Parts: sequence; structure tokens; C-alpha cells
Amino acid sequence: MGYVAIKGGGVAIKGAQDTLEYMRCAQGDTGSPLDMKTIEHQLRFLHGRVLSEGGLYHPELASLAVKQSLGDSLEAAFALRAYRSTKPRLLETPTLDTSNMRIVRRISAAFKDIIGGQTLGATTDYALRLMRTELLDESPEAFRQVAQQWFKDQGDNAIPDTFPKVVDSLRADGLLAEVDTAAQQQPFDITREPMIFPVPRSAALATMARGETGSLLAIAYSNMRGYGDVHPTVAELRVGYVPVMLPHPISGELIEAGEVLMTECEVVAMYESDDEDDKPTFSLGYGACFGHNEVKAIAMSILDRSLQKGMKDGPTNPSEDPEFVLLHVDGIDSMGFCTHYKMPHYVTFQSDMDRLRTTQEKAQQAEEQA
Amino acid sequence: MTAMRQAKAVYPFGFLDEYAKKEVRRTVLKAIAIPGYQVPYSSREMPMGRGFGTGGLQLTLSLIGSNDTLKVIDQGSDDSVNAVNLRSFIEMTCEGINTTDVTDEADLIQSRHRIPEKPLREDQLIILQVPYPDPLVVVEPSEDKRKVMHGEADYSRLLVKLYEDIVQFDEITISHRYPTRINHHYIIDPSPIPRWDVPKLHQSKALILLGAGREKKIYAVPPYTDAEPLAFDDVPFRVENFIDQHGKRRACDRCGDTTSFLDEFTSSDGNKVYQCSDSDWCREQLQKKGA
Amino acid sequence: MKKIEAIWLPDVQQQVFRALMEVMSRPGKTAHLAELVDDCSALRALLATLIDGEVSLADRDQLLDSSDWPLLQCQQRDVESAAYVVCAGERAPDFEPKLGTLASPEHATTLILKLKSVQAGKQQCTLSGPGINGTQKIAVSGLNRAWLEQRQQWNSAFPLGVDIIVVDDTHVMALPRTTQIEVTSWDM
Repeated sequence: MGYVAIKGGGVAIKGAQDTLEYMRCAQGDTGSPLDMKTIEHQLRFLHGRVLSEGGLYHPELASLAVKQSLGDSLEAAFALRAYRSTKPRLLETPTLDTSNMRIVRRISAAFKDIIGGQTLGATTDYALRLMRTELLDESPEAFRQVAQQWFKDQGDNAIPDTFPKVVDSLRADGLLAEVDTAAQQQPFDITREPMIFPVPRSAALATMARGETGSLLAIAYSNMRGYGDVHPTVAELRVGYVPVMLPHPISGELIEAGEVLMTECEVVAMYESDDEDDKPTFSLGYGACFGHNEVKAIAMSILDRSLQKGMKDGPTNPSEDPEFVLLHVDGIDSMGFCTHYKMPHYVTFQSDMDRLRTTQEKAQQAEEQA
Repeated sequence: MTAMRQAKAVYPFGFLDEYAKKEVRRTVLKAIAIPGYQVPYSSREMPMGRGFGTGGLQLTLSLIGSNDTLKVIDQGSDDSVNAVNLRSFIEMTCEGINTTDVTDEADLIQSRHRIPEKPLREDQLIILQVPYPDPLVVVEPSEDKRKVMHGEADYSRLLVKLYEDIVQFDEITISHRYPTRINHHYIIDPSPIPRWDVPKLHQSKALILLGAGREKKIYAVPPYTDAEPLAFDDVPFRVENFIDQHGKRRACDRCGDTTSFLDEFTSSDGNKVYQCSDSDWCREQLQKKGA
Repeated sequence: MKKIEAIWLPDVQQQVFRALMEVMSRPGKTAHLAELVDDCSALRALLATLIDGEVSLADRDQLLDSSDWPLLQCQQRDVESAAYVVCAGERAPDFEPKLGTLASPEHATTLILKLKSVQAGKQQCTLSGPGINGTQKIAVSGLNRAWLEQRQQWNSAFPLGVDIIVVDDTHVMALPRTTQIEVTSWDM
């Protein structure tokens, strides 16, 4: 009797787990295990992606997820998201005000100078992508020296805690529509309610906030290249720590429970003028996510703008179609389904062969008769 | 295993939090009350891939209690990698439940791609894992529009598609996921079961629940409910054919049975081999022969 | 410390749900809940099992204690807009429940009617439809006949309609929108 792949599944799974675990530890005597803080700091951007795509702000578990998935961002986000499924919701925050963000980076492409100033902060934007061969064999001493030196150079020139937002000054000048207070109703909760289209903008924002960076980028890029016409200008991109306010369980008074690292982007797009009575204004696209992930925040803000257009006038290309965008940007959904094609499908394939053979026979009979 | 012990400490019974289970349970009741209608639900992430049975798994975890005896099958087998994986996860997170390979002993069956050959009883329940819940997706990409078509039982475009198939190939070429009308209204995708299993949906003694985790839908075929595969008067619905070139029904190489759905594969010596797809059925036939 | 009633425990709710699912799958079949839920009523048991902060509930005839509401955590709504509506079966319907829409028929009210008995009585009907092998006889008491007349009207355009769960102190039975009800004898 030949080998039948279906039998002995339990043994095979155990073997696969053991092999993967060996690979993680294959350095043997010369290796040392990654600790959680190393991942959080030295793999900062990967860590941020996992926080945001996992949809759960838990830096330590995000590090663990990166470690156990051997750095696969989709797998790591997945582990975090699945952990989230087991946790009941205890409290809800009110709408958080990102103008209270403790800024680590803040730029505007719209104005040369902005109130509070541009803060370039930590970015690779202007770095030369040359191989830094000195890091190949970095000594722990040299590594520690960097942080010591950095603090020594900082001095006492304290930066303010908060900055006003660029879009507020555009609003003050009448260039941007006032905040739609009617839209500030209870946001759609994609983790508790199924999305039945058409969905409100809050459902789209929530879906994209935990969307997969590459998927958001690909669809936003299609819009940038010409399958759409958002033509964005980055009014403000900020990275920093947003205080999370929670009602005190007894007094109900808002207290700061902690802060979350976030990236936020507001793009201003060309104005709309089809409401005849209103004076035309620029339109706004909004993107925000956990962690430091600027590509994601910008891509999301462009898609927010294109989706608003699609919701209003009907989609004319993929990036304006809410069903197309929102049902295809979740990394957990798409990677899971992609992976599942590796599972056995031989019952359905048997069925496929049966149909093909029947139609082949019929075709042959028809040929013989002719 | 230490990994399992640690996981037990962190995760609650049935993995999902109780609110998630309540939502699935409410959805199940609506699904039963509206036979064949795909009820949307919010669908939580499971620790296995979307596409690996997360919809079925959420149903099982929301339904199961320590009195239950569970059977998990994939491609008809309890020992395939995915079935083993799902079963050990459920065992790990649901302390005290029983599991079995024997169809007769199970009261809860979670399955991918097959319905057991042995007719199910009233005290049993089968949960099918669904990758694509909506049969209309081939003719209408927008869910918004499909929902209206379903509500109106407007399946004309699906029938036209079927008809075009017949014109081109003189045969309905749908091999599995055969569109089936439930209680004379909704047409469902019965999950990727072969056509062989479709007649088992009709007037089933057991409740049939279908769960699509990635697409976030739950639907049901209640017991004693009509389930009719789409067909035309002159081109009937046909199940898979296991007749050889001499006109003889192929038999299972292991148990010799000539009544079950067969898997076909090529053995290492290059010969075609046919075997029962349903491993428990095959075991039972072998046992009967031995007795 | 006050002991938690059985109906709020996850493993009890799991068993109550399985009983509910069974009766919803097989209209006319009754399930006995008393042993599962100690001394709690079937009505409270099924509410504790189904309701949470995500759904809305209306209690037309004040059948619930005010102390139950915070535990159910749900939004309290009027009878015409709530997802779940509890009524005393003796009192005739005096409102239009939600029937759902063609695209979303699940957005229909689940009516929970409290009767004297769902096990025996002089109000007798024959049921047919999905979930029933041929026909199923039921006998109840404490049901105002107007409910059946209204129900027929509400359920006249499938998939729109209301799904009804009937309870007495210890039993539960279901009449989903697909069930055809024929009255065979009726005495109050």
C-alpha cells in the first residue's frame, strides 16, 4: 500500500512544530534568545506594524508574537488578534483628542512653517540607503555609547507637551469644512458588528486602522498613479504618544490610564464644489494607526479620501469602492485564506475530475458521431 | 505538554469570551429560523488561519459543553493534519469534553468537505466549514446587491449561468459547492462538499450548521427541511460517478465497499487506487467483514 | 457573599442555549430547563443566555424584576424597536414588531411570550414546516388567540417575520417564522 498523506496527521504536526522550533534556536551555543525589550526597540517598526495590524495595544505581547513567529509580521499580528478574541470588553474610552499627543515627530508638507514648528524626529526619510557595515559586528560597548551620548547632547531645551493641529488653522481660514459634528455619533464597532454594506465612514476607518500595511499601500498607490484622483497634500503627519482616558470605575471621572504610540496623518485633497449652496473647500483624508508606521497612515488617509468620494458619488475605480477596499485589506483574513490553499482539497478535486471526465466523454462522443 | 498547560492558564473555556459566544448563539437561532439565509456576525479571530475552519470552529466553541462528544473530520478523515489540529485545539481549550473518531458516538461533528456516509440521527448535529458562503458571487460581486437578490429569491442570473454551462459542455460542470435551494427560497453554497453529499441535506434528521469565519456568515439547514440542488428537467443533478470502463462500480481497495464516495490516487508502484473517503465508514465496513 | 444564580454561569448558559437551539430547530418540541437552572424561571434563564450589552430588550408587561436589568446589561427600548420583546401571552398584541427587511430579515424581533403552560392545555394546534417531520401537535394554555392571528399577518411575506419563543415557568418551546400553525381546538 502506498503512502497516504492524510494519515498520521498528529505526528506530522508535532514534527513540523519541532522543526520550526529548532530553526528558531539553530544558532546553538553561539546564539542568545531575543528578549522582549530588544524586539520592541531594535525591531521598532516591525513591532509597530504588529501592534497596529493585530489591533491590540500590548507592547510586550506584540514582542512575544514577533519572537514566536520568527519575525513574520502577518503571523505575529495574527497571534495578537487571536489573543484579543478571548478578552471581554470592560470599558470604553471617550473620543481621544490627538492634539494632546506627546509629539516625537511632526511634519507638514503644506506649509514651510507651522505653529509649534516642524519636528523631523526619528525618520529614515533623508537617510542614505548605504550599507552601514560598521553595524555588522557592533560591540555592546559601542551600542550602549549611542544612548549615553544622545542624552548628553539633549540639554534642557524642553519641547512643549502638545501642539495645535495644522488642519485647525485651515479651518480657521475657511479653507477646510468644519468638523461634521453629526458624524460624531457612536462609531461603528467592527469587532462587535458585522459589516453590511454600505457602511459608515467610521467602519472604514476602523477596518483600515488594523489593515495590512502592504495591502493598504498597494490600493492607495493605484489611486496615486491614476486609478483615482485624490492628489493629496500632507497637511500634517505626527507620531507620538496619545494619552488614553478612561472613566474611573466608581466616580466616572476621566483619568489617564496610560498612553499609546500612534501615527496620524491628515491629507488635504482638492476641493469639492458640487454642493451648490456651500462655498467650496478642501476635502480631508484621515489615517491613524498604533505604532510608528508612516506609510500606513498616509496610505490610509488617501484611501479614506477616495472612499468618501466613492460613498458619495459611486466608485469609478477600485480605491473608491468600499467593498473592494475594506474586504481586501485585512492581513489576517487574506493571509489565512491564501495559506489555506495548501490544505488537502482532494475531495473537491475528485469531484472536479469527475466533471471533466464526463464532459470529455461527451465531447468525444459528439466528435465520433460527427 | 508544557505549551498546552500554559495555554490553559491564559485562555478561557472555549477560547472565546462569553460575549463572543452569545453573539454566535443569537446568530445561530436566527439562522435556524430563516433556513438558508446567511446571517452576518462579527466573527472573531481564531488562533488558526482564516480558511482553516475558523467559522466552523467558532460555532463549535460556542455550542460545546462538557457533556458533548465531538468528532472532527477533514476530507472524510479524522487523522488528517487539519482535523487533528482543530481537534487538539478544542480539546486543549474545552476541558472535560469527549472526542471520538466514530460517527455513531459523536453528538457534535465538525467537518470540512464531507458529510459522513452513515446517516446522521436526530440527536446529532453537524457543523460544516465554509470558505465561500454566497453562491451568487459568481454572477454578482457586490454583496449589497446580492443581499437583495437573495431576499427576493431572484436567482435568474444563476440559472442563466448554469444554462450557459449546459450549452457549452452539454453538462452542468459545477463539481462541488453545488447550489442548493433550501425550503424553496434561499439558495445556499452547501460548502465544498462533493455532489455526493448534497442529497444528505434534504430532510436530514440532524441539524446542519454552516459557518464562514472569514466572510463572517452563519447559516443553517434545519432538520426535516427540503434541500434541492439546482437542475433542469432535461439535465438532472448527478452525483459523482464511480463506474469503471467495464461498467462496474469501483470498490474501496481496503474494505471492498461499493456504496461510498471514493478518493482516487496513484500508489508508489504507479497503480490507480480507490479508497473510501470516509475513514470511519471504511473502518466499520472492514469490521463487519471480519465479524 | 451572595451566591451567583445558576443562570449567570457560563456552563449553565451553554446548556440553556443548547436546549433553545434544539427547540428552535424542532418547532413544537419543548425543553425542560428547571434542573439546569435551579429555581430560576425559564424566562430569566433564556434572557440571561441570549442578552447582553450588544442587543436591546423591551418588557411590555413588566415580567422582569428591576434587579435583572443591570445584570442583562442591555439597552432598554420600546416594543416597536427592540430586538427582543417579552410579553405576557394572555394580553393581546398591541404593537407592530420589527419584521426585518428583504436584505436583512434577521433584523426582526424575537418575541418571547410567557404562558401558563407550554406543555398542556386546551389551546391545541398542529404545526408543520421546516424542522418538523410531517406534523407536530402542541397544547398550551394562557395564550391570547390574537397573537396567532397577528403572527400570521406578520409572517405573510417570507423572509420577513417574527420568531417566537414561548415559555412557562420551567419549559421553553419555539415557533420560528417558517412554522405553519393550524388551530385544532381552542378554549381559554
